Amino acid sequence: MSAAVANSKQSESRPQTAVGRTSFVDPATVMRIKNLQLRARAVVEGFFAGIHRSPYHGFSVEFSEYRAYTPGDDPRYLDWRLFARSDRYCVKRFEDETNLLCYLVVDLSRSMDFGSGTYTKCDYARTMAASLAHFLFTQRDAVGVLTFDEKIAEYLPPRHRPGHLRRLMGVLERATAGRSTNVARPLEQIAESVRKRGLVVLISDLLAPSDVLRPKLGYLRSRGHDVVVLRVLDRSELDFDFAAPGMFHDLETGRQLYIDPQSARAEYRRRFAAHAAELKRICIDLGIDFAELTIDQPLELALFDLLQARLRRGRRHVRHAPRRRRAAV
Amino acid sequence: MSMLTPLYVLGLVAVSLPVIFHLIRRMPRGQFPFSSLMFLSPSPPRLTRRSRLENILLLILRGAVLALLAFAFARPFLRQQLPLNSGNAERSRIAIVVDTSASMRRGDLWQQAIARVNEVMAEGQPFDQVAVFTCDAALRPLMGFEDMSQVEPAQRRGLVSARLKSVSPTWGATHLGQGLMDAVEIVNNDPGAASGRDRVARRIILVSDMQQGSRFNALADYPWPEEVRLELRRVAVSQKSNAGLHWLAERSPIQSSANAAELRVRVSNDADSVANEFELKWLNASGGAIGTAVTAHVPAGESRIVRVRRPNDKASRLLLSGDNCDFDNTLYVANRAEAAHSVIYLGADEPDDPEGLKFYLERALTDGLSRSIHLESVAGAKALAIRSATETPLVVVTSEPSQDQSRELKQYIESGGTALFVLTEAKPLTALASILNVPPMEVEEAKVKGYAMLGKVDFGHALFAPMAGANFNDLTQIHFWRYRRLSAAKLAGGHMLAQFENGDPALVEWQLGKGTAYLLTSGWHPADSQFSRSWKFVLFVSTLVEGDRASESNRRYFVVNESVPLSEEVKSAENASVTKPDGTKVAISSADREFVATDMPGVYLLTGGGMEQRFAVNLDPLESRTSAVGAETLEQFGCRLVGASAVAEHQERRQYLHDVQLESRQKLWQWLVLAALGLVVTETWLAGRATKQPFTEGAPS
Repeated sequence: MSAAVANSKQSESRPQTAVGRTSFVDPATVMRIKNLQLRARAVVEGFFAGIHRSPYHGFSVEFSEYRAYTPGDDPRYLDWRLFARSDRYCVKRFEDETNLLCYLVVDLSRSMDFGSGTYTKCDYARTMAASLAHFLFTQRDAVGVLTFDEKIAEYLPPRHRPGHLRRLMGVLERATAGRSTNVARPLEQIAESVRKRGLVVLISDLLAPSDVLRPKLGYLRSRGHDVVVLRVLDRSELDFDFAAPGMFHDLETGRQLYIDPQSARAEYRRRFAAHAAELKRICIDLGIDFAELTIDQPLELALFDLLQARLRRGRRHVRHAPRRRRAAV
Repeated sequence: MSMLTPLYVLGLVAVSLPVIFHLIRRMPRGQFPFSSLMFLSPSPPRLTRRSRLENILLLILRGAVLALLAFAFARPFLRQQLPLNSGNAERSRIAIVVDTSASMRRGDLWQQAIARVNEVMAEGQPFDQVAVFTCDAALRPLMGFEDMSQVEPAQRRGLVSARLKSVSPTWGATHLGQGLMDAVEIVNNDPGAASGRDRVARRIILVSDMQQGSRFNALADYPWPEEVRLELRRVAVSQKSNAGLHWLAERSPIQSSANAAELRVRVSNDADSVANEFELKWLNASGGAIGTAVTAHVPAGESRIVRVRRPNDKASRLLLSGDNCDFDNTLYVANRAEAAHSVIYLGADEPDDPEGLKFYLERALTDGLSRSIHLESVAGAKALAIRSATETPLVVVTSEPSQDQSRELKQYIESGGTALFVLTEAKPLTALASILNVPPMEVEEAKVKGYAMLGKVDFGHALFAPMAGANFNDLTQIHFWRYRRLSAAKLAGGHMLAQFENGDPALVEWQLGKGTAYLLTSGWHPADSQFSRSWKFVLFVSTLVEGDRASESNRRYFVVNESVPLSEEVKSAENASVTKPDGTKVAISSADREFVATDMPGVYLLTGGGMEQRFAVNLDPLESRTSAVGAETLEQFGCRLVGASAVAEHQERRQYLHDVQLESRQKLWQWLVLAALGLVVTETWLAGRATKQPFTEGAPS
């Protein structure tokens, strides 16, 4: 619970910190670079390769815990000294420093085709996914990508091979906003199709009823994935700063409404904030790292958010490990 | 109020244009795509100063100007009946032919016909020439062109309607073909058209049920004039089942009394009928049923011949039931004349001896004759007791008569009787010679090898004229085994009507006084020939009995409007008269050759000269064929029909011309334009006044 609170505080305090930095590149400038891979490289430049703690246990140099021997375990890994001391067969486990399996899940629904500036949320999301992929790939992590609108559009499994990053960039280059949207069903499909546990980074605006999102995110989480949600929004979606009244055209449903922004703004903000709060609460409940970005914010913030999430998860993992070891012993 | 060009009223749409423009201005101009409207609710549009209507009075005035102009262009006029100028209008010469045949008695056909005529009269224009005719067996004027021209146009319709109410369908047959031809001649006979003053459209409007039995065939070889158009106004009944009853023949059994007759009638069922089970029953004069009913099953479109036994003399009509139309369901039957007629047979034949001559003669006399004839046999030297040549149409002599009998025969022949002498033996013809006042003729038995045939027959004579047709003049099948030879050179002025192959006389005729004596040189009994086995024998006997009188004066069955020939006795009698079925008596003078007032079905009574004779008049059988024929039948006969669309188009054009004249007289559009100008002036003044006033916020400008 304390971690969740910290997470929440972190995400709330981060934008002021990020915006205040002058070293970040203006996203509008980044978006002018047509090649997505170059765009990603521009964002990632300056970041160091890091080692990620993995949820998998392997046999490396750093001891993790003891586990009771069960028939079928390799007897080579029996700790004979412990057997001498306690007369029990235990197997030593070590923290694995394997590479990360990361799934970048990019929402291409029609609502992502909205942008009040020169680029849309979809452009921003693709660039963010490309930056993350590039960043992780330079750390020799396996990165895959999955795009969806109402169903899974394209899926590239995580690999770390020469040429994989280029293919991944190709998938993201081809990604355009889809014709319709249904966040819930693709999430369910992702949970079913991605069997090997890893890090799932969901990049979406999450403009769907919260009661629909909750079970699907929970299902994804229950499959053992570490989930990071990066919510991408336009500034006008937060503020609803339209001036003139007019017919507002819903990109998702095609519905048209006559809206007078002056009279509707307060109510909109209230309901939007409530929805956002509900989303955060769902993520906290499910142990999902949640970050919200507007498309005028620097893309590097997404990398910070990801790294911070990984660090938090690593600390959480290390903090829990001795307790388990004691229990095992 | 009506309008000449109503499409201009669409200009009223222009009145709504200012309001529409105002509403368009209120519509939001911006279209904003947005990611999701899930957090938004529709906002009610705000009422701003720009969205409010200002200067409502000016708006109303401008709208009124537009509306008045639109109405003015539509050229309105008040519909009313005015005497119009016929100068430019097309004049029509119309003959309305109303079918008044018996079939129009069905249901409410006559009321429909009157309504149709009234419609036509209402559609006509005052300057049209109209005449109304009725047509059944002939075309009769109800109101001719001359009569109609003397009546004020406004009064024509009422007068025609009154005349039609005084007329009702007759019992006559339908002769529409002839009626239409007569109507064409009347319509074409237009003295005004000869001057070529103006164009005249000639039309015949036929109001009829167009029944099948209308005798349109008469039009087949008639060149229908191109300028005469025929327009059809049909009338029809809803329940179409109709069956008719018609007399065919009456037959008396050999051994029965004259009155116990058996009738052959034809029951014909119409093609449109639904019913096919009918019942025939006899009625007396007061309408009471007599005897048992007879049923007949006749499918639609077919006819059946039914034999009906007449119970007694009191059964005066036969009634058919089972269909929906009664007008042709009664068949009237006339009793035979009281006076008995007889043929005297002088010979010594045994009763019912098939080897004799009498046996076959008796049977030949029982059928095919218009009156009841009894055969009286006289044997030996008994007196012949001939009453008159009328009551005894024939005396057959097969044995040698006595001197008294010869005298009787001579007197009978001279008074107009007919005697047939049959040579059954080779004996000298002394009796015939004495009657004819010629020397006795020698007779010998002819030598026949096998059989003899008739070689030469005078088909021009009345006796053989009925057999003269190519289908009937083959007499070679009548073989004669034996005959008596008579010298052709010694016939003493006799005319040889038939001779054998070798030239020997077979039948010889002598004229004596008013009558005729025939000599047949062979008998018709089996010993002599096969003559009695041929149907020609029956025809031969009946011709001998009826003679060239053709028994017209003895006919008892006629159809409506058919002439009844009168016998000499009736014509010469004093106080001769005919009592019609409705009780009216028609006197007959000596100058009348026939009685023509058979205008209703029923039993007529002819009295005069101490005798009473009844004859029945029934409906024409064709009148029962009531199923309607299509207009194409008339087209097939060359009639130039006017289609329903053409009629409507004509009426429309007439109406349009009428409206144009009304509008040009009333000129309401001028007043509307004047009113519009007045409103424009008012609007201009108001608008100018409003613009001079200083604008104040919130106040209407």
